Amino acid sequence: MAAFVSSAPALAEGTLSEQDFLSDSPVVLSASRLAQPLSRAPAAVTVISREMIEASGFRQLVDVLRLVPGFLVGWSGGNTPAATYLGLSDAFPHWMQVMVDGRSVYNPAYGQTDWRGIPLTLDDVDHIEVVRGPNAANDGLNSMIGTIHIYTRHSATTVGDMVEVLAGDSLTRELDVRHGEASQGGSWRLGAVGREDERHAVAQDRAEDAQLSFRGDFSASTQDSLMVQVGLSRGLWRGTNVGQLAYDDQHAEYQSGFGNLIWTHAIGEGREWSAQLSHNDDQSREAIPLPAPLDPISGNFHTTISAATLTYLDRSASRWRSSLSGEYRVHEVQLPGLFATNNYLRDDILRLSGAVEWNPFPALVGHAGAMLERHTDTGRVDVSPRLALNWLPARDHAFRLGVSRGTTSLELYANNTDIRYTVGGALYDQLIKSTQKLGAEKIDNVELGYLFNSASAGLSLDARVYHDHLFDLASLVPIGYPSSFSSGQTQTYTNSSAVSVDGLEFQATWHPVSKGWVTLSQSWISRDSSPGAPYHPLATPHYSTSLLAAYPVATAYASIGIYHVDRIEWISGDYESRYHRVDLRLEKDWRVQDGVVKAALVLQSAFGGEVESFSEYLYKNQRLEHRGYLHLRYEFS
Amino acid sequence: MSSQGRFKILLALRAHVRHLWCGQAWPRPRLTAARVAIAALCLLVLGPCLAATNVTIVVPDSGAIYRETADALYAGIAEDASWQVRIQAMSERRASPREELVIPLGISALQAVLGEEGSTPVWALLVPREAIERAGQLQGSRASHPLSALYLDQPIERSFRMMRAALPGATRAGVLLGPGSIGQLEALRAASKASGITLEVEPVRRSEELLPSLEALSMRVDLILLLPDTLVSSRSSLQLLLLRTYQLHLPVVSYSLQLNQAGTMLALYAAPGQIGREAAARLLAADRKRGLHPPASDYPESFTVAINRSVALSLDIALPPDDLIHQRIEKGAAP
Repeated sequence: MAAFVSSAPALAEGTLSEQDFLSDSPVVLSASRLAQPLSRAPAAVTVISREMIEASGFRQLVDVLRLVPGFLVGWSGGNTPAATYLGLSDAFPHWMQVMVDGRSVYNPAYGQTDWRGIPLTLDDVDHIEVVRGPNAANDGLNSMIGTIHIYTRHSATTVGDMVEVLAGDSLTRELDVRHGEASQGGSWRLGAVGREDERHAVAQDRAEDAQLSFRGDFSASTQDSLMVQVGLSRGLWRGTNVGQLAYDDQHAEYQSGFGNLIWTHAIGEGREWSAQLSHNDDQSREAIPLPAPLDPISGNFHTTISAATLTYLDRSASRWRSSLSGEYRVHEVQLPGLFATNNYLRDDILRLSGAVEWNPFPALVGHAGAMLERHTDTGRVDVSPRLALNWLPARDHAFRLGVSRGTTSLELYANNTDIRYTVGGALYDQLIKSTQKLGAEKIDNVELGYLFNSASAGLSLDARVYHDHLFDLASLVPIGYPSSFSSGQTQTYTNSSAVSVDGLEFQATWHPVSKGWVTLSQSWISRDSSPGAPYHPLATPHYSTSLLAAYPVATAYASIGIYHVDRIEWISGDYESRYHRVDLRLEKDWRVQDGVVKAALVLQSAFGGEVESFSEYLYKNQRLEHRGYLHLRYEFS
Repeated sequence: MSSQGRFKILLALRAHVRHLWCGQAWPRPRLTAARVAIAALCLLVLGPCLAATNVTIVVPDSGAIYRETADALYAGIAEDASWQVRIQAMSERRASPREELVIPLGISALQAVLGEEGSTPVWALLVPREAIERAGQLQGSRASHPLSALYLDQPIERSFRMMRAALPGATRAGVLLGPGSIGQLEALRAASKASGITLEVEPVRRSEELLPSLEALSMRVDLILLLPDTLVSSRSSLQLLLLRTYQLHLPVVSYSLQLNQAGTMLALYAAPGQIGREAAARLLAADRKRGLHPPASDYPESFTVAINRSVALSLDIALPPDDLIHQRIEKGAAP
């Protein structure tokens, strides 16, 4: 007996107890973390997994969007990327909402996204969900033709250390380091990246970036979780960040910082509310000298977005699911070169949105949702509704019929533009002058989708045929204000354009073996190009294709990416591009005592160059010639 | 005495037991002629009760699960006059030489009871099988208290029956075996063979191995069966496990309601109230010829299936109705 008593603590220590069975556990898969199956979603969604990102060999976040049907990626100024859907865009696509963990990262001045400046590395990314088509009913601002949701990895999945070095052609260098820890109370990681590269050997487009990012996930109780993110990035980009390349040594110094806090409270299975606070601060410094006697134009901008969001989700009932969200957001922009003032312009935005999903029968799912937004900059209230019906007639098959309206806010730029040439500070020429507060640009969409997903066959298909009518689009029209300027071509923005687009697209994925897969994305677009229709006939590519395949080869892992885009001319670009690009990647992993070593060799544009989409000045007729790089990665505990 | 009167006296005795449960001092009665007469009558009518089997339930000082279990156990046997049941909080525990069986609830109560002098048999509730086996090993040959238990765990073969019942298309189950569950390997193999579900296992010796082992396992299986294990199913491991399996579209089958609420798609468990009720039924059926023979160690017959339908929906997995799954498990029949 004495022996047992003296060893009594040993019974409790290291042994399972009733607490291991019966004590509360933190809710991990909360309502907001559980994605809706694509077959039941109200819109077409492409999911880019981490596995696809790695297999693609892409090192720039924006390039990953080439894997989405209908998406285009172009590079302006050599190192400044742009991404759009359907075409119809210049170097500043503003019809897409881009969010990282629920935080908008678009530029509130222009509405576009400074992809390279987001304090986010591909190592941070867990997966990307791209909504193809309007999603303003859910995501509001700018979700007119699509929404890109980027989700970073939970810090519990990145515990330990990681070092990665990369080197290759075109002066490409990169060093990534990460450290993560976990305890009973939560987990966190801190990562840092330094990189430099250049896109063309003949043009000034060398870029250097440094980034720091932190993510912590903590459990305050079994029902309450807290996610904290902080990030900083700093870039020196030779070339231009505002689309006006005027001299050889022109460059932009870019800085970005953000904080993001999400508190989630699980009320019960499938029900939760969450509160999110976020703040972005982005600034770019760039001088644009003009021919004498004109004064130089400032390419500087400083923007902030501050947002407080409260969301309630209820997915507890078997037939009804609902969500309700309210947000107060403030955009502040200082853009002296385009607003002719050093003052900050401000837009206070109040957003309310709600959605219900009704599942009256197992084979039928109905969706209704709407977003209401009020802007103080224009005094405008916009409503973006959506209705959708999903029919699941058989186990692996689903059809979707949806109608929706989306809007874009045009942001502060188009409503407050005042671009002028000055000489000695005196007005010399007025190029663009906003004379009225514009209404929202809008899109009406109707679409029919079909989804097939057979787990046993390892085959899935997501197809969509759609008709989009975009109207009240902002266009420049000449005005006689004032008539005495040298050019006599002063212009202003009006809601005066419209265009219709019809399209068919699909994405098919096949998993013949557990680590082997192929995904094919195809898009055909037909656009109203009658005489008098806005936009250049080539502003939309008739078709685009991407194929990414990965397969285990002996003890290695090989992948190939093929990207083909029909002729396109981006607005404000002066060169028609059409490209066919093939990327190859070979990876080998070694399990070592305390971790994993991974080596990968990547060859981009293996059989010829991709013609850059924006071509002006030094970049005219530049091609992305074949290039390779090698990276080594060591993850250890 | 009428049966009604006898029932009232039983109720009075039950109230006395409840007094003990509430931890209040036993009131000292004042002797009056009437009370002496009633006592005499009680002795006459309740003669058999004096020979009642004396059982003490030992519970930790706080915790709703212990109260729920104790209440269910008490309610199940207290109305049988041939049992005399006391419920004692651990802090007020006084072993009595009249005790014929001590029922500790939970591992701390078990530990306290096994440390007492005497040789009263101990029948543990709310204790996992692994802890009972460990306690037996620690007592060794010098064991003074005969020890058995109604385990908290569910039998592994029942978990396999549930997988067959709920996920007929799943043919390969994966298990991560940590230090606390590696001993279940033979039982897993037997259950796998009986159910027709192929078993795949990966060892996890250190927390750093959890993710690589899960990645390796995920390529070979249709679902993950999570077993109780101080490493694999610890609170810090659980988050990683649930996040990664969800990314991999792998459903997880677990062993508690709490884990089901945290994010496993299915769970098989016996709730505290079920354990208490089943313990009462097993006690009533126990052999009491020549003294009480405590029930042998066994898994519970009772079980509950919990389904996290939000997770199932997100994984796009259609599950049968709850009652159908339950029926299939009980019958052990393939759908």
